[in-house]
Amino acid sequence: MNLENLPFDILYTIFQLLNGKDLLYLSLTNKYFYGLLSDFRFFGSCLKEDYHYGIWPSLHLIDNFLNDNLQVDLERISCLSNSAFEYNLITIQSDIFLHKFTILPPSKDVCMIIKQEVNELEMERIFRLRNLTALTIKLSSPTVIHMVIHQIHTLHLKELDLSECHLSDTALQILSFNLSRTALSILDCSKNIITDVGVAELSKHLPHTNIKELNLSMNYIRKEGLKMIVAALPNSLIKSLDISFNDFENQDLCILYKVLPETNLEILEGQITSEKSISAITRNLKSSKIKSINLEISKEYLEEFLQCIVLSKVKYLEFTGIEVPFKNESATILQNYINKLPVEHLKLNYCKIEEAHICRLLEQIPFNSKLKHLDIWGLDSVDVNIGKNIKNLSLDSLSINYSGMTDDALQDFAINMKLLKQLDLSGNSLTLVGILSFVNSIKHSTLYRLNLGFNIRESSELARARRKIREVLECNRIINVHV
Amino acid sequence: MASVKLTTSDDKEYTLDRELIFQSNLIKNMVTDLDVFDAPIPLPNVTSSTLDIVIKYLKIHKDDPPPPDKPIEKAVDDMIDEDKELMKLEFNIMADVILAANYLDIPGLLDIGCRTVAWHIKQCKDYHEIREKFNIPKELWRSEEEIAEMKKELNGILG
Repeated sequence: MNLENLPFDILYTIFQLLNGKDLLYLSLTNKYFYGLLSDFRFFGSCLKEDYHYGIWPSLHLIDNFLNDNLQVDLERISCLSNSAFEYNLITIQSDIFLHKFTILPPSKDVCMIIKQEVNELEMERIFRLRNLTALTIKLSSPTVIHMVIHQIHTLHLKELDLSECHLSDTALQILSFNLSRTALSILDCSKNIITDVGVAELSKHLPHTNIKELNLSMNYIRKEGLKMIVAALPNSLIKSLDISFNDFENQDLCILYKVLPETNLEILEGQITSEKSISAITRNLKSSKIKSINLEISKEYLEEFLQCIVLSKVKYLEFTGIEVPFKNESATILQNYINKLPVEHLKLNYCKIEEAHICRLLEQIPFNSKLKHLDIWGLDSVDVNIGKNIKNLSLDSLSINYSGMTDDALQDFAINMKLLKQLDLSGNSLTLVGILSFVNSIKHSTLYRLNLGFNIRESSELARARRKIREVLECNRIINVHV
Repeated sequence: MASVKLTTSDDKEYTLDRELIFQSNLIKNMVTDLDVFDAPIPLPNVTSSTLDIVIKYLKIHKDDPPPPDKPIEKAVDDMIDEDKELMKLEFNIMADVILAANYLDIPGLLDIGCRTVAWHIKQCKDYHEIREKFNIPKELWRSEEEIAEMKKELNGILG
């Protein structure tokens, strides 16, 4: 028997008797406790006293507390220096802090996100960290960027984020030349000023690198550049390529769709709005390695696309709907295929679907469906019926956001959700009364994560809601609630 | 005085005074709601050595007033000396007692069990000691996929 074998509600009772430092130490013992306690909402719910982000076990938010809680900061660093961490994400916010990190022993991997301007001297100091495996640079001077691209091969980076750095073609050419001498697997060059000239050099070196994820979105790449990058894909290790929002037409993406089976790509983003693109996708998707799809699609091609998905290995499917909204007619087509799809996670964004159509869609999901996560965003209006239709679903998580859902619909959710573990109803029109009565009725449900944020806008009501929810759930098993 | 029979997972039979064992809400409800008097109540999740400790606790607290509905805020080690003595156990045994208290629904015993664990955690100088004291297995840290997943989730939170 070890501590992590105790039931969750007992562990939660024990956690509530500890202070921030104890919880921090506990989180460092192993992956399970780290997983639990690095969720800051859960961490906060364990602590009776007001807590500071500074003692939150995860290092992601380290920049929020610096300078006013140096003691805890130091303690945490000393924990890190001794722990079995292989990877830590550290945000550098101040010079003092940067200096302190040089005390980390060389065996620990460190990821740094530099969000403020650093000078050359500080950058030199960062370069001396032999354990630096991931680096994100924001708001730095061209000289600093220049240093990074020239010296990249002397670092041991696995991830490099150079988005929004005014990276030019010349800079990308130098970087590309050095890439094959690095172990870099993730490279983000989005939101820069890269054109086909830079891409030509990058494509040339790509097959000799270890890069698995490449982001070139929001640059100035044209059709020629797209062709070059696509030609380099079959000989590279790239699993994820984001090349959206560039200077080529969406239909030019057919060039990419046609070579899908020869590439290692697992994630596909795009737009199907022409005969050419749908036929390229249907012919090539099945024999590709694509597991995740995120795209816009016109309704006339939806049926053909879904038929192709049924035969694919796709686990995640998202209809982005920004330029081509997902409407009632599309929902009707989806109804016919929903029980045949291999997809585990379905997301409908910016959809313009009426409630009746969504209800019918939910009715079609069989109890033994592979679908475990359903996210619906921006429905036209949600009244009272949607909660009635979740009765026979075996979903693990359901999100209905920004859909104008009212209190009346909530009560049906409380009665009908059976196996649901996560429910996200943020951004609707729920009131304090509705939320409190809902929380009261779900005390004994299987739910462990509930997001009701962005419903109550009034700050005094918000404080009351948080206090009341804490009171209601205090003596029960943990439900992680965000209001 | 009426008594209640219990059988532990290792088939040992106990006959206990109702007044004593009724500190367990589970047994109390079973006996009063279901009118189980003569037949022994099986406790498949509790061994005899654990039940012995539970009975010691019940004896110490048999004259206590009923616990308040809302738990009172108190310090982690704020418990009577007899309880402290009773809880001087190895973690393995203590965990069994906590699980038994949870199963038998004895809020007072569950409370001192949790307090004792918390107290022991507080006494540890670093996480190595916590790991050793509570037999926490040292697992490998996160895989690359998990880190990617974590980062994605975090970017969502931070916007």
